[in-house]
Amino acid sequence: MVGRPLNESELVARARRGDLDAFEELVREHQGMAFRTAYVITGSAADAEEAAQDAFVKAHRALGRFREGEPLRPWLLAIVANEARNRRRSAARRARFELNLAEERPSRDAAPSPEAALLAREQRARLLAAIDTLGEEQRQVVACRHLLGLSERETAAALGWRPGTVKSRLSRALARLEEQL
Amino acid sequence: MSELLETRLADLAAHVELPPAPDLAARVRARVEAEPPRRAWRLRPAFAVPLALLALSVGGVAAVPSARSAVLRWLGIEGVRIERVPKAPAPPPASSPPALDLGRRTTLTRGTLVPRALGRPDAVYADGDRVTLLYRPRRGLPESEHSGAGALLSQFPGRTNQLYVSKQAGPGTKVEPVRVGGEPGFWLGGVAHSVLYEDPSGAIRESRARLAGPTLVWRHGDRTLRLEADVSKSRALAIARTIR
Repeated sequence: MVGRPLNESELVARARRGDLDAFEELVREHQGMAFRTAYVITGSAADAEEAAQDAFVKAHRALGRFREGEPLRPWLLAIVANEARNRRRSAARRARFELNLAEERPSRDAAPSPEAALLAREQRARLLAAIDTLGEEQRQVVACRHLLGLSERETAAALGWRPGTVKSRLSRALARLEEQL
Repeated sequence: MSELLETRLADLAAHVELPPAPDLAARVRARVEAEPPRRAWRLRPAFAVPLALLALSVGGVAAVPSARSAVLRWLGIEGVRIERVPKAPAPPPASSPPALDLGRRTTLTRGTLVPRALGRPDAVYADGDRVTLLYRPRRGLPESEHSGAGALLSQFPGRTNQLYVSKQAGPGTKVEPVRVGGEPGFWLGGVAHSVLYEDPSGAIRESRARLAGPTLVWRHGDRTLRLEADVSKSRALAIARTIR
């Protein structure tokens, strides 16, 4: 295609008219966040993959009910989260999502000294361990807001809570992290 | 949250590893393509009826929504325009609640429609062709937090090109087509919508917008009626059916 790429609302408008290329582009744009959110809910990569895939198929069917002009992501995440929660409920064993530290990649910035890098890694590991001591709901809300970078509204949609609940659980979780560190 | 914790969480977010996200686009597309074809979306079923009706009855009340406005959909009956807006209208600042702009105080005249279910109004107002009956709160007519009245019933000539009332309904407001005595109407329930009255010069003034609770608008012969009261849809319809 020539010209500037279509923005999201243009893609949505096209997808609503049955343009599958436009819909595919929306899937590409949001699949990463959809999968990660489903993973935080189900704790299983396989379940999260299925949940995200089913959610996009359902979102396509429901596009007519999406209100143009609203942001797409919270709407999508609500569908994803619903699929993910259904899988979690039917899972024989409730898995807890795992957070691991990535392998250090050589940084393009001025490389810190090996000591400083080690220190930073230890600090991260300690914070991660502190997050892992939280109850599941607090862990989920910290992960959604601070690790996935979802907005409060998106977090509420993803976890199926009211925004006020997101706020209060998050502040309790952060207070506990402060205490532990 | 302390700044330190915030910094550390942001740093952690950049270094935490989740299972790699799979590429779903091709698989989703294949599944969507395999779905049985369906009617084009465009309109929710609830809107399909009023739009058909609109084509028959609305005349020149309003043209196509302008592309520059955020208006998503609109529908209406004579003298009333209902617009779908993406966000619920914000309440006016508490410091300056808009006055109920009903016109000058007058008395009941012949030809003014009165619902038998409510009886004689406590006050009557007129603003140009628009007449409004005011009912004070009483049993079965709770005080509206938006108008302060128990019920407001406005009536104005239908079948004209003049716009008397413009309503903006956000996503939380339900707009349902209804029939009142065989005539078309709409019920606006759920979250409050905003209502603007046109002033006699013909201009819609934003500054006169106020929020309105549950409202029934419908056509009655050659007139358009609007009943605003904090009652259920069935009660509003019951009141509307006693109008004569």
